[in-house]
Amino acid sequence: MKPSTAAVLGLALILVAGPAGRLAAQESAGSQAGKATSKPSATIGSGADLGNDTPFTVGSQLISIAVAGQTPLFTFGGDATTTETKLYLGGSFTFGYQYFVARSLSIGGALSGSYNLSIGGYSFFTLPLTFKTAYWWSILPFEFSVNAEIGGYMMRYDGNGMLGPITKAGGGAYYRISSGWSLGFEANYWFVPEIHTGDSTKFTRFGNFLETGLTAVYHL
Amino acid sequence: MKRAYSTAALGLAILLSVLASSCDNTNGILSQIQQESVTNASDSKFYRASVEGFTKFDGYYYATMVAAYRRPTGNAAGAGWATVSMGDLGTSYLCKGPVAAGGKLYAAVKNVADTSTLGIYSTTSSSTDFAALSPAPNFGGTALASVNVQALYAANDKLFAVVRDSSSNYVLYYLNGTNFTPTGISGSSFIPGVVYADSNYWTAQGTTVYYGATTSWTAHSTASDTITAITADTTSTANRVFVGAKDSHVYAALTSAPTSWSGIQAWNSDDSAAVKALVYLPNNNQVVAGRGMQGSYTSTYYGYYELTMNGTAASFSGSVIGSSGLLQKKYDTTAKYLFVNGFYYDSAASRLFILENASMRKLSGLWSTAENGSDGWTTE
Repeated sequence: MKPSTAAVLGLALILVAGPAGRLAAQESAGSQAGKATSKPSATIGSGADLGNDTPFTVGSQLISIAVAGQTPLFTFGGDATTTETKLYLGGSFTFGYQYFVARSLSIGGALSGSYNLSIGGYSFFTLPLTFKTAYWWSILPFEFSVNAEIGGYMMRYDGNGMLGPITKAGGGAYYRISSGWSLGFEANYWFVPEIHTGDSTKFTRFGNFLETGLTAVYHL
Repeated sequence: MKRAYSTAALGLAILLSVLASSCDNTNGILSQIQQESVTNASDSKFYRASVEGFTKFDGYYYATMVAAYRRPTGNAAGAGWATVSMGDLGTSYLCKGPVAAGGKLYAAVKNVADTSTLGIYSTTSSSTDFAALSPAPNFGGTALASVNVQALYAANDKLFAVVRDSSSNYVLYYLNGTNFTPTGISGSSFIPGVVYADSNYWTAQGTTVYYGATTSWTAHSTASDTITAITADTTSTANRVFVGAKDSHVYAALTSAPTSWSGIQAWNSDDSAAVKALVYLPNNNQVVAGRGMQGSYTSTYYGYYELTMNGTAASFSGSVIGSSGLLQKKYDTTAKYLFVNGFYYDSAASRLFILENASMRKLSGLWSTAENGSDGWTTE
């Protein structure tokens, strides 16, 4: 098995298992409470009740799925003589989970994967796994968020791998299309340090990317 | 729920172990990418081609596929390559060379069947068209039309030619006035080159290194397998000669001690790549060993290794395959997936050219880079 494949499977296990446990617990609680929680299934109609102005109350949760373009901005550090990334525009996906610990304030995690083709024709993958905190507010039917993430990544390129820390910051604007779903745009800045030590310090680089794309949010 | 968290923990353990094994501190990913250059340059003259020869003459670089091409040395990499006209043949010819010797540029022009030589062409300047040597030179009394010139080399302003005779032996000649004279070196193995260092010519055939004058040689059995490449370092106080062998070994000797060779296995012999080409980079004090096919194709005959020397000694700084002293990454990225045919080092420009066989990949067969690797491999 190639490391990248195993890594992806491992990450998927972690991310799926966490929310799955919570969901199971929530469904059980909801059932015992006489199904007080309505299931968001219908498309929003005229005059539909979208809930209160700030639906991001303590204990609410959301899952997000994003598909985006990954724009390499610049790379610096080490013995670099250029800031050119030598990468083409690529793509990314993100699967995230958030839990509101306070009104409008959520914490959670995100698993992302990005792909860029280098100008030399090689594939460059980055798989970040991040802890995420976000602030959400709404002017219904619009919702907004700003977020910051920190975590680690696995990078693959031409048969070589690298681990390192990563931070992201960004925000989004969404349209609440139903009581359960919001659809919108997100933009996130990725700061990707590739740290090398000892004699290899010269290889240290700081990658900078801009992720912009569509996000679907499901309100649990 | 407990089961879900157990699964997550298991996944995390698997993940961490896999990630740890895939991390290499000595290998910079983003830095390597920054050294890349566009490889699918289908407009390159050398796209999907095998570049067999390279030289510099009178303000131009010359590169040979089947015919010769040239560009001004002052041009940017890849800019201005044009087919070289070969006298009365125009641009319809096959050639070996060209090589520069004694103020002239020589090429052995062959017919399409590549079995006999039509002529030895030369020119005295880049602004003058090639013309066949007249009268046509003979090779030890054998008419030019009857010989098969396999390679031309230049050393110390002398022109050497490797001829394959009717017995399938490779015979080394040198141009002596108007005709080629046998050097006395002949055998069943190809002669990979001739260099000049410390008042001697150096060449190799089979496992033996020969050094001496054009017709007076001393032989020394040097390698454990057929020698496939030779180069020299004439920039250091102590001159050095290097040879590479079919079994991935590279050997070095001081010209002052031509019977004392130290060898190193440049890469694991399991991959069966021969040392197809060698070049010495004086500012790096490195020998770059290009990997080429021994015979049949396998997927491992790619790229090159950089071997760092110990000062001016004829010894290598690394002794173990895979040590950091051997596996440098400076020139690693773009050009490493092609068979190496040869190198050319332009000392005036501190620029290294790599001649590769790109016939099986959608890449250019000719690349260049600054000696310090600062601009990465650039498509020619």
